[in-house]
Amino acid sequence: MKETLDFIFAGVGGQGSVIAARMIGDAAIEAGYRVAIGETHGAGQRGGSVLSHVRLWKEGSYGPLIMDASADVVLGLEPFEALKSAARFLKDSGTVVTSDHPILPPNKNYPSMDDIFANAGKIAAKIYALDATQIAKDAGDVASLNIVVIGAAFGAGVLPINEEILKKTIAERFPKAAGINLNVFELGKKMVKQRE
Amino acid sequence: MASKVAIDAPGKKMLLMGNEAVARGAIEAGCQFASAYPGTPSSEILETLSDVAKDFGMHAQWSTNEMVALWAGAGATYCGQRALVAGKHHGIAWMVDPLINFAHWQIGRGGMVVAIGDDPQGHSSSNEFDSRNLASRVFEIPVLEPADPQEAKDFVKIGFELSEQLKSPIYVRLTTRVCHGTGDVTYGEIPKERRRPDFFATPIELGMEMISKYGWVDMAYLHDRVHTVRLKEAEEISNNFTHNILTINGGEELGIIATGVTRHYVEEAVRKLGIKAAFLQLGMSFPLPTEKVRKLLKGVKKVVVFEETDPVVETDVRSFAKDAAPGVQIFGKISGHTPVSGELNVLKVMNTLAKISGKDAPVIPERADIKEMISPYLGMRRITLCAACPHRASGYVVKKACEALGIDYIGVGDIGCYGMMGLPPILSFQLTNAMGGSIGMANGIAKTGLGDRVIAFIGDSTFYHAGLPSLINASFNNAKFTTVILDNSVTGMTGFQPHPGTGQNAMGEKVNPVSIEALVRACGIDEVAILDPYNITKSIEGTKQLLSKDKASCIIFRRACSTEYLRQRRKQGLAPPKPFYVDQNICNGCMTCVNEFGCPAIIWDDNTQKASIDDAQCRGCANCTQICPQKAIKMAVSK
Ligand SMILES: Cc1ncc(C[n+]2csc(CCOP(=O)(O)OP(=O)(O)O)c2C)c(N)n1
Ligand code: SF4
Ligand code: SF4
Repeated sequence: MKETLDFIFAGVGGQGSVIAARMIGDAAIEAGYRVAIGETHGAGQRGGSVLSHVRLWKEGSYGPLIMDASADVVLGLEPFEALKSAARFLKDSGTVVTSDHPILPPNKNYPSMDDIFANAGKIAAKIYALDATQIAKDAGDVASLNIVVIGAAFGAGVLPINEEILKKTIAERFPKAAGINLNVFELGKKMVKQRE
Repeated sequence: MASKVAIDAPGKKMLLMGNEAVARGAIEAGCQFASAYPGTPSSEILETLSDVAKDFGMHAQWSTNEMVALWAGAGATYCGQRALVAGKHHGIAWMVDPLINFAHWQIGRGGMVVAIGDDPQGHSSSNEFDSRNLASRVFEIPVLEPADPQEAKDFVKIGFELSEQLKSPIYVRLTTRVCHGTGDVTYGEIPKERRRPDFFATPIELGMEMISKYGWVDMAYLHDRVHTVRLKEAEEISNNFTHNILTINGGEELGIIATGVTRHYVEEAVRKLGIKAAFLQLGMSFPLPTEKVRKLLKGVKKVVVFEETDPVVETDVRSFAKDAAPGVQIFGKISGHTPVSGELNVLKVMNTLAKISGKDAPVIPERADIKEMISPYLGMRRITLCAACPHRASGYVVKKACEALGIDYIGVGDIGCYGMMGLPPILSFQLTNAMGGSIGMANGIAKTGLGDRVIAFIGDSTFYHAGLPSLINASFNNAKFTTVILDNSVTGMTGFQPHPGTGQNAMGEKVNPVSIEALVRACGIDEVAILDPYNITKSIEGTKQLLSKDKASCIIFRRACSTEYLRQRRKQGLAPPKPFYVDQNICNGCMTCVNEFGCPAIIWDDNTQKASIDDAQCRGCANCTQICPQKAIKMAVSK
């Protein structure tokens, strides 16, 4: 039996995956879980890949790193980053919830979205996607794309935390942006779609 | 939001990063002095404390370097206050000489905790090394190894108590996964009383003791009592330490010893493999709790030791077991059963345990086809200098000035964001070492007479930290080279901490900035130019003028770090500067901007064979407009 719920947040430096991971952590404590989050700082600040490992459990103690091929869910703020971390960390038949809005490298050399999702589909049993960047932009703050993805994760049913607690955590984290952030959480929740 | 480490709510559970937990531990210990020099993975310790220090009667400082940080902290202990000194593993190397003295001659009546972030795997460092070697073999001071944020907080508090009991600095060995791991932490009490400063020179007391015993001070006696008194007492403490936990159910053939975060990896690996093993967890790894180790060795046939990075505990266990339990087989790095470098993780621990206990190793799906699909794109998010980084412009300026003068220089770099100036396409230098090494090595290279010119590139924070003594050396020994100081008014690489040139310190006080140019001139260097690298044409001229003189010289490139500049603007509610764009009718595809400058906001399109600018990334510095030979890059008109 698996004793932990293991999530990988995957994104590019500056997208807010680290903060998103902490918000899930805050909410999980409130919901009675123990929490360990692991991340590698440094290069992320300058546009590199950023991974956060988020582990939730009730009994015992665990380190902050998820073992290869054992994460339950990959939460992507960027589709290629989601695929990359799924390839290493997602368990067979796990779930991917990701934004499908790419961040192109300077030479624009980037795989096709079809390739990305076809390959993710070889590992994941379920894939949920939405354009988190566009949703955040339309809502008035592109920086809220990480909350769109949290909303999407909730909408996809992969977060074991109830909506009240999540919303409370989101509202308290950035009180000034609470309005937009709660709005994009709702949008993420409603607009996320399972890919066939 | 008031800092969460300041919340006075015993029993409350909060999500803290390991470094924040260290800070909270200092607060719960009533620590009144904290000093550090930034360094990943340790920087957030002092960052966190600097935000709240005033509320707890604490002084927090970014010191010029780690050695100064240690001395400053020790000063506070001689006034009876508790001091926390923090840094990364490179930093402990700077503390070695003074710390040995404090270990032998004692700190003051206030306790001292030295919290060091090792970086196994070297995620954010120029090497990995195990600083416990210094702590246990050289300083010979007790070593605590927390496994997670909760323990990081608790061990700092315990460390202060032990420090005062043993009159010794206590070493809290952190690692990247503990410093940057985040987890739930249950808060303890925050003491209300503050210690009034009261000077007491413990070394004089020791000196008097020696004089009465031997007629004079005896350095060997000082060292002797470290072993015969302090470490003996510390071993007793280690045997009773509540976080040195021995679990034996009876009948196990295998015993496991683990330290720090690897304790959690072991617990998970043992569960996953379904093996039976006796387990000794070490929260205090030096001195070894020999009674607990003896008990473990008695019951089992094999013992495997898990620790990151060097076999420090393993060596101690081996030497202890040789007499205590010669029949027990010991496994670890020395036997080749655990990796001798890099981080451990659950998978590595499982592989080792499976091999030793004759179980099947875990099978990880290959996913070869997926990895093949991914592999061409893996390099796409290479780290580079940020868009609009002044270092890129500075490197470009030096390159162009040297090309114009026909100078083929030998470049020596240093440690910081500007280290990336050594990468394509700027390629300012071929060599870097450790903080201060640029000017340091230039001292030697210049004396060999090789090359047209030697140029040392050093950041502002690095210059204050370690560059200055080498520059004094250059004047003293008449070494003729050019020092390029990349003054971006911040310690960029480690997260934008202030430094002596910024005019503000960790307490937020306005202070007199220490002038780099005045220091350089005081070192006896007369040829000094201060240039703005954003003005590329003018800077090339200025650099040429300076380099055409056959004398020791210094260029200070002064322009704020573009990321820090944007952060400040955002704080003030100002919009970022307007982005630029490439006029597609004028761009002729010469690629000068991509191949010679390489700002990450400039995108090359293979289809159109033209450059364009990503306006989400462009920070409007206008550097590229000065580089494009076709003048194709223009400022966007407001919409
Ligand atoms: C002895 C030591 N302490 C700390 C560090 C961590 N460190 C790496 S670069 C750097 C500072 C760089 O600042 P600066 O010289 O201003 O250059 P910038 O990054 O701003 O370009 C620090 C503190 C280190 N590598 N070695
Ligand atoms: S953080 Fe500042 S100094 Fe570092 S690369 Fe970015 S702009 Fe340059
Ligand atoms: S103006 Fe040019 S060099 Fe400056 S950030 Fe924009 S694209 Fe980069």
